[in-house]
Amino acid sequence: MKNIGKILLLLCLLTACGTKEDEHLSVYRNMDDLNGKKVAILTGCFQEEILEKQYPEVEVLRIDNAADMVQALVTKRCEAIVLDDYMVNYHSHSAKGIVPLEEPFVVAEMGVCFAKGPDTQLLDMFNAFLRQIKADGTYDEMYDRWMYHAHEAEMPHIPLSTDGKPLRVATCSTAPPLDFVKNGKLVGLEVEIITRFASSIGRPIIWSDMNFSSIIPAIVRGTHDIVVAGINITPQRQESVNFSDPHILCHTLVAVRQENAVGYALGAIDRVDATSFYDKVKDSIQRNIIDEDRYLMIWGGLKLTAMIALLACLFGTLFGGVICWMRMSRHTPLRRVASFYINLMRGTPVLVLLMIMFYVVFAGTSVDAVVVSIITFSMNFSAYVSEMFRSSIRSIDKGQTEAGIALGFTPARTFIHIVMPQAFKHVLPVYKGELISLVKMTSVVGYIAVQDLTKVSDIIRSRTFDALFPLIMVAILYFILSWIFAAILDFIGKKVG
Amino acid sequence: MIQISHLRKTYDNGLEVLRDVNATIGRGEVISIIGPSGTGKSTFLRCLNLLESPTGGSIIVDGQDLLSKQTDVPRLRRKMGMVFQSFNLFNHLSVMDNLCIGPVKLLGKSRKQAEARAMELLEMVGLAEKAHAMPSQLSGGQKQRVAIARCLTMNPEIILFDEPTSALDPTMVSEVLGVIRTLAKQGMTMVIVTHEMHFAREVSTRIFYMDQGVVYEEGTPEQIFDHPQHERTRVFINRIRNYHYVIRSPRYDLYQLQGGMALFCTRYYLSEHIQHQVQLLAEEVLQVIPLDKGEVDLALRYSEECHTISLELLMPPGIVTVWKSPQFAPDALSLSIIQGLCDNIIESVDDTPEGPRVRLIFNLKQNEQ
Amino acid sequence: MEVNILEQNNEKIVAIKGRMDTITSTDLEVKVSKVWAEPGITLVFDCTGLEYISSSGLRVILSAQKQVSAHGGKMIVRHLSPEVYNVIELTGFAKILTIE
Repeated sequence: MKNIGKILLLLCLLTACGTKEDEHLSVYRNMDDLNGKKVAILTGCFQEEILEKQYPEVEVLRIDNAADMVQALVTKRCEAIVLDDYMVNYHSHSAKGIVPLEEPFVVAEMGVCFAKGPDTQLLDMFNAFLRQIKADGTYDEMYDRWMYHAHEAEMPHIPLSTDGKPLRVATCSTAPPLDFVKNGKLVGLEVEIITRFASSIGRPIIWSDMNFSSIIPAIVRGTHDIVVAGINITPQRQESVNFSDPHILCHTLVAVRQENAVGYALGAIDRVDATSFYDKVKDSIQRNIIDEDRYLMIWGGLKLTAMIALLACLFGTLFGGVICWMRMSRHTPLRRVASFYINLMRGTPVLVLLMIMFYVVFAGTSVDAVVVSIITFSMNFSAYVSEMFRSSIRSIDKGQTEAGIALGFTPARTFIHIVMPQAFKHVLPVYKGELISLVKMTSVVGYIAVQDLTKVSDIIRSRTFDALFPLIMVAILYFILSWIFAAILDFIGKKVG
Repeated sequence: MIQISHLRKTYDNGLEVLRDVNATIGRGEVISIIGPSGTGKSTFLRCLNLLESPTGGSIIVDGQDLLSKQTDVPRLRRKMGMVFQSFNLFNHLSVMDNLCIGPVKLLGKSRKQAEARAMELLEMVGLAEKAHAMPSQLSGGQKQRVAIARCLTMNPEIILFDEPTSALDPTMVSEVLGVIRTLAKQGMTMVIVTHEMHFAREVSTRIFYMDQGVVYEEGTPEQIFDHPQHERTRVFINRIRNYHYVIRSPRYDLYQLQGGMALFCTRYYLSEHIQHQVQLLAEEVLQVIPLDKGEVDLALRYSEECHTISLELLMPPGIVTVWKSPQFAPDALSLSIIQGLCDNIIESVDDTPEGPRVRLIFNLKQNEQ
Repeated sequence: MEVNILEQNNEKIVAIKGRMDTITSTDLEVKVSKVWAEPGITLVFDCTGLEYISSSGLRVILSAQKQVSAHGGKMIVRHLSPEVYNVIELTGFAKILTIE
């Protein structure tokens, strides 16, 4: 543990040193000044196309959430970011040193997405609801509270019905102040609107927190009824989903670092960080772990990661045993099937498999995303372990089996008493490696709205704008988790051996 | 005890190893199976406990047909122990556990009973102190003795030995043969596939000579080794009792020849002194005979009855005239060594299918040291 | 066979190890012939590691004896194993050589 401390310290020091001042600073007045520069944009947002068409010389950097975009700008991975005004407002409050250019990039309307189809009952109800809250002043109050005072804003208590068919709502919690996590709860302007809507029609809600890029597919596949994630109304999207009447008018802005903005003078802004390293770490712990009881969320993510890995390992091993048996069977069809399965699983990236399982195989069913994750990783793991089992069984000399059979054991008992214990010793080291890689592989489940350890760190980062600390923390947690798994395996190995 | 009739075995690749094997094995018999390699000796043995499944024929063990579907083969195998060429001790178990796994898991004995019996058997094979060693800590000879003990834990009625000493260092052969000899004395029924002719002759009640996928000739050791009836048997017995080497040019491989002679001598437990002498004799004889006139067949013979050793050369007639002619002055040094080493040298002319050949026999002196 | 020639107390010592047969004795002859004609030499064959000798090897030793004597030198054969001595005795040369 001492070593981990040292590594952590080193990493912290590296970032604490900060980046060097540029000798010659470019000044960006509008988009034309950014030609040939790197500009970051949210993956899958509609501005992407405008950016590419109107400014073909701009180098586009696609990033999955707003916090990472801000982070990319601050750490000089790009020169500017294209982001909606409310987000820029929100972030310039937390992350110092980014300013929007005066000229907006584009002005657009946002809407709530509903499934496409002839049945527009839910959509009509929502539009009616929207007209009503706009008329009675509820909307203005909410808008003011979230858009201008997001850091202090609280969700009011809105009673929800407990029975009735639940509304399945997908969102992307990395879009404050519309949708984000505070004190471990999903909050924000859109979250409040939808909650009020559900309350008004007397239905409970099931929220799914997903990546922005996979959110439209969710409604297209029919896994969700409503999607809210600050989605702009575009003709393209209208082909896939039905939009409600515009519920938010949004100005998309281009933000740059303060030193590149017009009117910036060296020393005009307080950039000197006088706080000591110790205070910085203390502050990071306070902000990332203690504030808003985030440790509960972290603990929840850790438990989920551990559970997915453990169950996937368990089922994967059992299923891997079956696949191995089929692969070594005397019957050619069984062998073929097993071989095909192994090649298929090993040749498919696990993330792609996960998406296919969630959006295609289990689309429209009520199977929980966590269960889908466990199934997916079990399948992946089984293919790898079955080959491990096979090679370790092969490595046992045929003479061992013959001696067992000659002694009077049946072939099955020979396998259990003679071959398996020896194969077990062979397979253990490789198996351990595979298990550790399984633990780490589960970090992609965030793509299908499972709030695991990695997803939790994304959420925390989007709130605290501390890129380093949550990532290091999560890295350490993964390391500890892998270490515990390996230790358990060693223990079992010793018991059996 | 076991009746084998018309046993056939053809491998998937079409190779016919056993054509028509007929034999009976009685209780208390010790049968050695000898024969050239690749004639199905091991396959035959492995068919007896169905490690290989025969293509046809029948094997009746104590009135039970081994090949019938109703037969509980694993149960029947408990009565038939098998000792393998490569020992096949269970690598993950200690010597003691190797000996206990059968009785405990298959015969339902208590661990305590099994251990007591295992200890007895380990004492019998002289390895009591190795009870808690792992197989990897044992020498080849020790492994094979443990393997024999493991067989005995199941109280078999018959033990099949599949070339039990072929994978062993020459120095370890005798310790394993010693244990098998003890079992023979105790009246254990055994079938042994072996290349140790000396041992086979000493320990067996009957010998099966297998060739061309059948039991070609069977009989008592005396019948097979001293008076083989069939030509193929005779050729085989002759080959294994002598060391043969064909010299085709003056640049023959002296070290291969001498190495082969050394191996032959160790097999017959001949002293190093004798080994030295036969090597020297061969080298000197081959120096005085011109080797560019045609092939020379060299044979080293050892007669176990009279403990005499002779070196025999069969060569084209032209060479001998050179050897005898007064004009040809063989190297005096070589000649004096040859004469010093031999009691007598006999010369004769044989009629062979390839025409007349001259036979020279050098009989080695036996009185040295 | 391994042959090492070294000088010690005014003696040329030829240490021979291994088997001296038809094949290897030529090598010995090449090595020893370089020194055997030195006048007044004391040539010693140290046969400590010599396991086997055939007539070819013996011939080299006898040639050496002849050469050394012709140049007024002295030749000694040392540390013969019983097997090797036996061969020399068979040829009747045991009396001619100085064997220690």
